[in-house]
Amino acid sequence: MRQKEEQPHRGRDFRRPGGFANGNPALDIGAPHRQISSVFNRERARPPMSVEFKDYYAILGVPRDASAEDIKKAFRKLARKHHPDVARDKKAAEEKFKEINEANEVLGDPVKRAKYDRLGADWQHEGEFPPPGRGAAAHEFNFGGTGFSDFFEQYFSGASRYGFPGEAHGRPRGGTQRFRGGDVEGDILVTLEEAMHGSVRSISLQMADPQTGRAETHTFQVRIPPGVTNGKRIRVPGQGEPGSGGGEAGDLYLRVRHAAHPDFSTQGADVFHELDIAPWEAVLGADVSVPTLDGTVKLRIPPGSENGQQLRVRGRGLPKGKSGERGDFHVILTVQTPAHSTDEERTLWEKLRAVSRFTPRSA
Amino acid sequence: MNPDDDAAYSLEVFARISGVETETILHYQELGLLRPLPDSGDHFDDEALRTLRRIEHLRDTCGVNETGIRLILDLLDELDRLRAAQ
Repeated sequence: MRQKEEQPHRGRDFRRPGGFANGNPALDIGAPHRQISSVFNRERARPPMSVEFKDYYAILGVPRDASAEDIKKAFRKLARKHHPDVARDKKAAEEKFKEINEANEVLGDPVKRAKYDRLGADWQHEGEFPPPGRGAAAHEFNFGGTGFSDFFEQYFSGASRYGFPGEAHGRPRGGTQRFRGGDVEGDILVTLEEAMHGSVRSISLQMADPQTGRAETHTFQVRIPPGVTNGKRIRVPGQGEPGSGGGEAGDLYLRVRHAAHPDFSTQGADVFHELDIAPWEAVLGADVSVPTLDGTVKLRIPPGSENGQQLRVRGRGLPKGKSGERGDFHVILTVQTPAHSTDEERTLWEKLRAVSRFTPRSA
Repeated sequence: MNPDDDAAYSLEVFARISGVETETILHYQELGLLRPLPDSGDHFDDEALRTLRRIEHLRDTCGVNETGIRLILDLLDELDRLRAAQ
């Protein structure tokens, strides 16, 4: 209960002066060469890396007690406004879009949102957080260009630091034996447009050498193949942990996370779209234009359609590998009722009520 | 840059890039720890490479036996699924 009373104050405290302005390096989530202030090796008891708290409520412009529906609405509205495809300043929009996406991923999920609220309650030091209590790793990793902020990666991704330890882990170092470096894993945010057409991303990975403690940054290109599905891992050979004793480096695996889109969602190669329709369109049928990830399709809503009914457009989903095949596009009909009616409309509804033998409640 | 997507490696190539003997790979396959790509006969993808590296690490560095490896791989898969569903 005490927590609840304090919330408005904490809400202000999260934000440091100028905290969310563009150009703040700590928040420049899409920058390919993101500079990290400190990289450390916990085995050597260096001071913990600091990440800046992100005020996801402020990013979405919703109050702390916003309902799930409010959050969904706020996300959709902002995502439409800042979608890289529609905005004039594409670069700025892209940064904003990633930020909104991240906020939605955390606040849109009850478990993550609860964790985030707890984090906020525990936050004491100005802009600094203790690192999460994970086991000590031989290397500490920092990603750039993945589309996720350090804050998100540290607390919500769970991926960037679970790289499988290398063969040399736990064995005496500095010997003459060669050991291959361990694999490193991380998440990469991929927009549905990228998943549709493929892209090349510039990723940087910063690692501290456990022996010297010195941080090294490698920047490299990663090809996002067209049709990449949510959860798929992309292997980048040789960009994992360095080997020891002349052994080869491990690999980097980037797990694809589809960015939430205001209009579409995915399941494998299938794309889903909720289409709002009027009651008479459901009853009488209609021909409508529906947006897809590559142009619009003409769709015939059959007479007597029901709310929640799905219509399928074959082959307009994401590509399936190199076969030329594609997933399907599914349209979910959502019947909307008018919030306001004119006198004339009201008269017509009343007439319908008098005439209709429709009984929505069968019992 | 990462290689082209949907890489499929023959047993020999798979053995070379992983540094694991072909007999060992076939043994893991017989145990059901490694699965070749469906409809490919004996071709493996990057996901199988990741699994193979985990098996080798568990066996070689952690000294886990085959029953333990199976259990741990299942748990890691479950963990991945839970994280993805979050």
